[in-house]
Amino acid sequence: MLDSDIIKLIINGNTDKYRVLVQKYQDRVFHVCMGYVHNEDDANDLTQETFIKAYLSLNTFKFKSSFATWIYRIAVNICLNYIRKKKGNIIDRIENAIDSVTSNHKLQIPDYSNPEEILITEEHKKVIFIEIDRLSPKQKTAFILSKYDELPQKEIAEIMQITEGAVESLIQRAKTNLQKRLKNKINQSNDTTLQMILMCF
Amino acid sequence: MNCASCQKKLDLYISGNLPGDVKKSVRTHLKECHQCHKTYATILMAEKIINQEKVLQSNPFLATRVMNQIELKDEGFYATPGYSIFRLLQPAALTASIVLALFIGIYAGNSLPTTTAQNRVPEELMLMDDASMESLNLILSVEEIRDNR
Repeated sequence: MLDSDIIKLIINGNTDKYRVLVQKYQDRVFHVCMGYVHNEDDANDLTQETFIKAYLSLNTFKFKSSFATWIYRIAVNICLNYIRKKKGNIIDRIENAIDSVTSNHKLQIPDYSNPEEILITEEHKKVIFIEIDRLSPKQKTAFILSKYDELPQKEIAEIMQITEGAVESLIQRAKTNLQKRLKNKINQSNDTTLQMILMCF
Repeated sequence: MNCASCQKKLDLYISGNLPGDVKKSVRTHLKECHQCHKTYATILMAEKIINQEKVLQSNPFLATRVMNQIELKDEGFYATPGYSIFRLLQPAALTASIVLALFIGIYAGNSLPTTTAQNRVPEELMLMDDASMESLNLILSVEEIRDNR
């Protein structure tokens, strides 16, 4: 059954059918949320919020785009709002400041105790996530939809309501910015760590 | 191949979408150029970290949770006067419980006997001056002299 048929059934009162749509798209929406928050619990909460908001707005769905595009758009808006609110929170700001200071130091101390695990440490992850978060909202959205959900540029363009060319440019700029910032961070670290990282791939 | 050209092709090199000869020249440049090698390592690391997040799956009970929330909303639970009053009274109840806990703490602290009261030194002993007390050795030596007599 097509998504549009399921939506029509739900609007006509068969609300149980919404479960089918949730099950079909929950992982895709979850990955988008993970791209923004990098935390499983928060991503699950945001995914839940996305589906509830979509259900409550189902009457406004005009069938002009696919349900997938529509739900992605809602998820992106919810995630961006969540991040905006979180940035305004003074406790989170202090935690982030402490994190960024400590991560600068810790990245220079590789742990050679377990060569299999050392390559990607929590500190490496933290540095990558901080740099993804530092991208502008548009670059971040294009980058996440392309990398986390592997969506084609055409679909990203529909979700973000911009042209395909603009999407390509946003993704390219996001990648360049990430590369530059990460290279600066990694330049401070031990070269042997990089050699170990390369051996992993 | 120069650095700028190599770094532009790194994405395609990593995804394996470069034609054979270009791939070979990128590989040769990476072996020779330390800076490009570092950039390559950085991109690989970022890709690996993102891939680790991509394999995670959403909560298997998410659909059930969403349907329960929807059911509550459909039943108008959140719109009932009882729920509105509960939401309004929530901060007041929290403040009251903190104040009550403080009063109980203060009351309990005051009503229990303190350790200093239990171990109070009797008044006659408080008046004793240890410094002026005679030495035990001196008393013993006097006793010894008496016995010898």
